[in-house]
Amino acid sequence: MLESLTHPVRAAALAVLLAIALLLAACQSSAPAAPPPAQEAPPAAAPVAAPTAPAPAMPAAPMQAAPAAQAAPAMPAAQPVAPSAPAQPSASAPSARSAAPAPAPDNRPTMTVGGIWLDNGLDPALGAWVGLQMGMSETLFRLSEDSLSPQPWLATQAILVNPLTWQIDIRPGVRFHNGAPMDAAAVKASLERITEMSDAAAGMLMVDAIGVLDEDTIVITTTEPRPILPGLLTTPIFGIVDAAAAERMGDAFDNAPVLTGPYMPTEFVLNERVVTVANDDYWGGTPPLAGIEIIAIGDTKTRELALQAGDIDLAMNISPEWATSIAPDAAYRGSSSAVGANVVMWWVNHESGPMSDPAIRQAAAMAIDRAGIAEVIAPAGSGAYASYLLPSAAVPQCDAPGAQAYDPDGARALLAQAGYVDSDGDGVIEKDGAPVQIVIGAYPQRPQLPVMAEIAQAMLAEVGIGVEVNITEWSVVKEPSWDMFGWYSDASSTGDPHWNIQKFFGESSLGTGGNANFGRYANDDLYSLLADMGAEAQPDRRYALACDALGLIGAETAVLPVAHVSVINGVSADVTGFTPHPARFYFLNGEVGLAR
Amino acid sequence: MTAYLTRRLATLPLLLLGISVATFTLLNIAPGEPAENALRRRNPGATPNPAAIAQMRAELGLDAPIPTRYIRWLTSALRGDLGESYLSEQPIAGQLARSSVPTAMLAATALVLAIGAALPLGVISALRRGGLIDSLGRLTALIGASVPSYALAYGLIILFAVKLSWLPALGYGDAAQLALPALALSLAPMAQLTRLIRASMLETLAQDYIVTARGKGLANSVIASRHALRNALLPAISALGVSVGNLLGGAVIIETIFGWPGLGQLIVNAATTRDYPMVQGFALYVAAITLLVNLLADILLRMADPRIRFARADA
Repeated sequence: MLESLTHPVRAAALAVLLAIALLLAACQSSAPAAPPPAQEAPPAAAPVAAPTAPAPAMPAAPMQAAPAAQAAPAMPAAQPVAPSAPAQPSASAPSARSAAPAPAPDNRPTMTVGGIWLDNGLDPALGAWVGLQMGMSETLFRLSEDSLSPQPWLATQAILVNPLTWQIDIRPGVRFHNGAPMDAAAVKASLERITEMSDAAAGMLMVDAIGVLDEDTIVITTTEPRPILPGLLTTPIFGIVDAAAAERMGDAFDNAPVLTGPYMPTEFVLNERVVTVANDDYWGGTPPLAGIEIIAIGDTKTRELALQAGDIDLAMNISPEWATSIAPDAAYRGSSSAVGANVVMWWVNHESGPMSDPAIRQAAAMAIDRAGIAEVIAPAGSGAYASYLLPSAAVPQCDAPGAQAYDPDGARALLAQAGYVDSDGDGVIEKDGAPVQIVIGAYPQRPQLPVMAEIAQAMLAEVGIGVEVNITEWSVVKEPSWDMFGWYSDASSTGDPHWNIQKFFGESSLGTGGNANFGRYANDDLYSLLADMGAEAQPDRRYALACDALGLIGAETAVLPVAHVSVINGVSADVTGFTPHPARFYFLNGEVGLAR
Repeated sequence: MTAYLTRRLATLPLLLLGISVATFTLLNIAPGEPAENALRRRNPGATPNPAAIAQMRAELGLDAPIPTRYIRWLTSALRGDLGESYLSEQPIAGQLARSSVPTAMLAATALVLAIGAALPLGVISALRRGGLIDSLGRLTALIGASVPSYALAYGLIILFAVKLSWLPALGYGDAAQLALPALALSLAPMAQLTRLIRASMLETLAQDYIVTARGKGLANSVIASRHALRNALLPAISALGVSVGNLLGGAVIIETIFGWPGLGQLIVNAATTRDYPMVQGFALYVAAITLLVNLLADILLRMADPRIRFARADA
């Protein structure tokens, strides 16, 4: 058929085919080579002092003790320094491991993981999370799964010597991926590199000086009291790197950082994939996988289907609907943490509009069945109703009253008492002739927000408050053209309630942690509670103050929390040792394997 | 022809200038805070404070009025410098070039699939009007033209990856991974071309000169291939120019679904994070490609059909 075409057309067709062939050829050659074999593993190092006993229930950092350890002394400067068991390979840590790591078995499987974003490099100091998430990078402290409090990780203990001085014991025997020892001098160099590179990191730690006491101990002095320093050190940016290697490698370090985790990056293609191989010298024991390939799959539906098709073994962040729909299938399951570490809530406009009137604000809080909405947007297994702004795991034993309970009749009575009545019979209440009309904003990237705006619209109409729902950009929150604005936020970073309350209401910024008080709520009682918390070093006193602050926030309808939600991950039936963590920084570790 | 080419090439910069003004204005009046996004990206987990955001705005040059910023952008763009991404801090041109390879491969494969299927389907459907192939062709064209590409993409994944396990659901690097996204992307242009070729073939077959050819006693196959197809293909050639633009647009969705690391993924990320220079550079780049491809299609058309005079533009 082509023969009958005129010459120019035939030539064009040929040109197109030729171009395709060239492109295919170019693509083949530019396709990254297969990951290097495991011989790129670091040279055999001296035997790692492996933990000899399962992790104790009590964390080793007295200053940041979990609630179970509230009896710990407030100033345990004289506490003996005993290397704790690692926080991560916790209850299931192989106790029978011999002191010398056994040679890695060759038949270990390789895992493929569907991640979401790979739009940063891997250097923690440049803001990369992927290293921490995917078992490459580690920090001195790590948030626990249950209480979201900082636990020792590459450190074994932190002692607050005086309000401006922390002594941190470094886990002995840890080596970087290149075999270099991670001793106190190396940790000091890593922390100094990060604070030099990042103003934000420097602002968080407020470091005056870092000193090396001995091979396994550093001393950090700060310019202002930093009672939550171990919590701040859980932030991914403080991943411990071999600073000397970073200096030598220059820009190349971002694609192949020298870290301490169970897996070492061997190949990184921006927005595409990271390939890692096992670090057989890992201080927590030989990793169960030969390596892991992490692919960036931005689309949630594709991650779900790729898991079903067997292309990936683990899918980050799948939808609750999908998790429910696959429940009967034994080949894969949805897995989410017991604690929802993110809050879904409404900002409330305290500065202008109808909601600046306390009566309307309270009535609105009473008219909206937040517990009912939570059941819709965070079905069982993916979250729970939020009575407080922060998840209860983050503020244990708090019994302060939360926001007003659902009581539409009470809301009507409150409004009538404040002089709001529907005098013209149009279903919307007025005062001095002005109808009460509010705008509820929401952004579509978090599917919970538009849904809850619409439910609230119907509920508020029941008490005569007219609502316009505005689905828009999240950044519109900064131009308060709204009365309530749906919001999805992390509520657990650093594990410290002060940090996490401050970030919603802070009058002044904590370090460069920032001030995101979008509802312009101002209350001196809250500020004084926050100030007391900021200066308080004793954990149980901090929790008590946090509880008071959360009660105040609830009573004042400073914001309206709706649900605490956790991320659901898709897990193939072959995957072993996977424990979902409520904080988004943690996903893979030296425990995750494949039964294949 | 030289005069025609000169005229067409001279209008290109004007068109690109207009497109760049429109993109720049739309981008900058849309809500969003690129400085804050950049800070959040560089230090995840921390909420940037207003002072840091103001400093970043100044650093990125966002504190100047929009016209000043546009002139600044234009001056460096004219020197071939599209600037750096707010987020990755890498040169835009390099990222566009890198991401172009996967997209070009995907779009070219989809185009070949579309032409390869549309040409025989369209011709046979016209010759055997009302027959089985015509009915099947019309059904395929209807599906391809009416089902949105994302639905087709998910449907293909469910069928070929989940149910049959013949092809991988995603990934980039080998031919098997190219199959599903290319197929998903090719269905819309395939449908459009099939319908176009069929209609234009039918129209041509009814022309007087075909009747004359029949009268001369020529075989049907000779009439179809030598006399009718040549003329019937002309509208398809001009449609191809438009198809390339559509393919690049469709690739945005298809690449996102299949995790294909091309221009589509790049622009989706850039748009959601308000990476202004990246979106601006992308718009200019894709506009230039689309305009050039259309120019190429016009030239091809004029070469294929001597009745179209290049001088006609002067009339």
